[in-house]
Amino acid sequence: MTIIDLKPGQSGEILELELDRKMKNKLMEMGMTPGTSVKFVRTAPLGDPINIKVRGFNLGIRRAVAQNIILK
Amino acid sequence: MVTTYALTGNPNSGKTTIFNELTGSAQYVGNWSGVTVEKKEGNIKNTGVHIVDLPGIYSMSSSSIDEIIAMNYIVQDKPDGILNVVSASNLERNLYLTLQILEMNVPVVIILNMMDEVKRRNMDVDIKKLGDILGTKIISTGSNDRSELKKIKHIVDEDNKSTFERFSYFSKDITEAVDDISKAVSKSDLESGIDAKWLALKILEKDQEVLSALKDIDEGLLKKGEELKKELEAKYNEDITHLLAKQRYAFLSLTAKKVIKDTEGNLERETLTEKLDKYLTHRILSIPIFLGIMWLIYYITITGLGDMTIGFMEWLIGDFITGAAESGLAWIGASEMVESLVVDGIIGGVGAVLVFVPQIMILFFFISILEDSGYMARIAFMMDRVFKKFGLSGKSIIPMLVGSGCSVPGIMATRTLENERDRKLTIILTPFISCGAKMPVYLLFASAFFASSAHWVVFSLYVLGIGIAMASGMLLSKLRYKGEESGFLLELPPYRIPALKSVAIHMWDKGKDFLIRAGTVIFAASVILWFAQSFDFSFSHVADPSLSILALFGKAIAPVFIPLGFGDWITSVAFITGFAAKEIVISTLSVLHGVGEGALVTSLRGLYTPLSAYSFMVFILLASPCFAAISVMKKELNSWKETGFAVLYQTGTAYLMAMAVYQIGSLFF
Repeated sequence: MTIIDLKPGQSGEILELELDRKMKNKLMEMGMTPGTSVKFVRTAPLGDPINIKVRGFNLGIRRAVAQNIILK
Repeated sequence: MVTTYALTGNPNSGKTTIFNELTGSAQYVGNWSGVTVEKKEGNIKNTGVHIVDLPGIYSMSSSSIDEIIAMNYIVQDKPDGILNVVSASNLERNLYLTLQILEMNVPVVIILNMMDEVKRRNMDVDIKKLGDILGTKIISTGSNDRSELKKIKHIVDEDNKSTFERFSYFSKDITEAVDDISKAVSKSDLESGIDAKWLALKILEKDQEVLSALKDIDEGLLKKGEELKKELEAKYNEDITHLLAKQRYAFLSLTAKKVIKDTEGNLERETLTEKLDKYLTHRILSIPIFLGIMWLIYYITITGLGDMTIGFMEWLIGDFITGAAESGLAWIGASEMVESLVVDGIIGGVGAVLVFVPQIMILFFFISILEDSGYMARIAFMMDRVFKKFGLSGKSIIPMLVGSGCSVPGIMATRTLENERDRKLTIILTPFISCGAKMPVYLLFASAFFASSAHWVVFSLYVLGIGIAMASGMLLSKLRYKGEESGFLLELPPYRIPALKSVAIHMWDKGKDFLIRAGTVIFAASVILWFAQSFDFSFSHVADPSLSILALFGKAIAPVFIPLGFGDWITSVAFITGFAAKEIVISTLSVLHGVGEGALVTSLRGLYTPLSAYSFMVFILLASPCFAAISVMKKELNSWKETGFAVLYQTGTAYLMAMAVYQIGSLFF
């Protein structure tokens, strides 16, 4: 299961980020470490990117990235 | 003695507002050496305290130019201390950077900002406890109460060495590895002031950026670091950098729980921003809201207030200053030639650009409101899908929106793009978005040749410009600027009411930039143009401009434009003068045709057909922008080669498109 399998408003717990090192670095430094709760807030009007919420702040990421963030 | 403190903090932590609050108008903007990231400095009012504003960053690693700049500044320039702006409404993530700064073992004072946002949600932060945990002084502030900020003047003179126990949150094997390496770091490896333990951590992480900046690190030491790194990574089956991030955040989660007072469970509750976003980024509603806001801004800037300021500036420059200069020159008995140089050359050329300064300041007023309120991030969020298709990022829309007013600030606005590839592409594409100065040219030609459908003709040009920008994005991202996709990572910050002081400072900064350029580049170009149109090759003054250097030059290149539908020298010259400023095209045509702007329509009708007039407008739309825009492109691309490519690409596209319009059109009309 990944972030894009969540419905808007649902949350999940991060298990692993299956991304290249650079992207993984950036996301982890923003607090998306394994075990952190992440909420799928909503999709952008044109279907991509999506708005997620981690550690109390909102972040826009593309679907291509979101589908590589594995949840428990 | 001057005390220098560096200001750091996350993007959206309110760092810029704090900087403006501390320094007021006593600030100046430059560039960091070698890169085009803006460097702001200033003094705290009435003190000898100097503040350097470092770029807003999320972490102190070396994954972006901004982070490298911040880290290098702290390591190499060794400020007396760090002022770390931390947003209390987003404590965990903001403190990540704080931890990394504390790891560098430099004096730190925390400015805990946005306390009003926290209190509005019926929560609080235990400032004393946080200060005890981090071993630092904390100044708390919020947009409604800045009184505590005054304490900074005194605090920076005290000893702010942190009592924080660094690395205590890392697992034992990591701290042991750090100790191991730091013991082996010999004095000779340490440029004065660099902390041995921090350097050891960087060696363990194998941070190339840091290690290459500090040459002469012992090979054996690097090898030892590499071995320990491999050992730890094998043990945890994880990249060391990710391991460190994990352990830091584990500590921060705990810290946040200890210091955030949230008895009502409001932290999880929906914020006002989230309520607003339900509409502002709504699947359907968001698009008309966005278009409505844009329309309002352009309506006010271009037709409303903008028209008034242009009228005023035209009067000021055309009547008042010109009149004063003429009578002044007559009074001192200046020759006709000097008068022509001053009035036609300098005031005419520089003035044509100055006329637009108030309008540009109004546009920037709105743009900084869009930025500071947090809505700009939503625009980028909404438009990313479209821009991605054309090889760009949603953030590219910001420079293009600005560029519809003037390419110069548009190109400067590309600084918000962190991906170099996206940034270069956006710089090259922004001039395709028709700027305000081209509007008068369209209006003249459209009304002369397409009376009843003039508006549609002008509209079609704007659409063509956007279309060419998009198509070029697709083409150039496949051919020239391949590189990696940015991945688009964008924080959607809480909506905030912009601080008037910051908006005013931003507006004035941009206006000032423009004035400086008018006084330098445009001034020089105007003098050269005047000279070229007033003299022949034997440097004697000519009364008939068709005998001037400019005319000879125009005649020489005129044949090039025959396939586009016009091969007369005046049109060619107008293109050349268009390099100085696009609106000069009209004055060139009217001067060289020897008629006023009113009679110009009649002369133009004799020279062009509707088809060649359209071809002319297409060329003006797409061809290389004015000198000012080229010079700022050079500054931002930081390369003559890239700038040359951009100008050639733009002019080449203009030529091909205008030729296509004329040649294909000739088959039908």
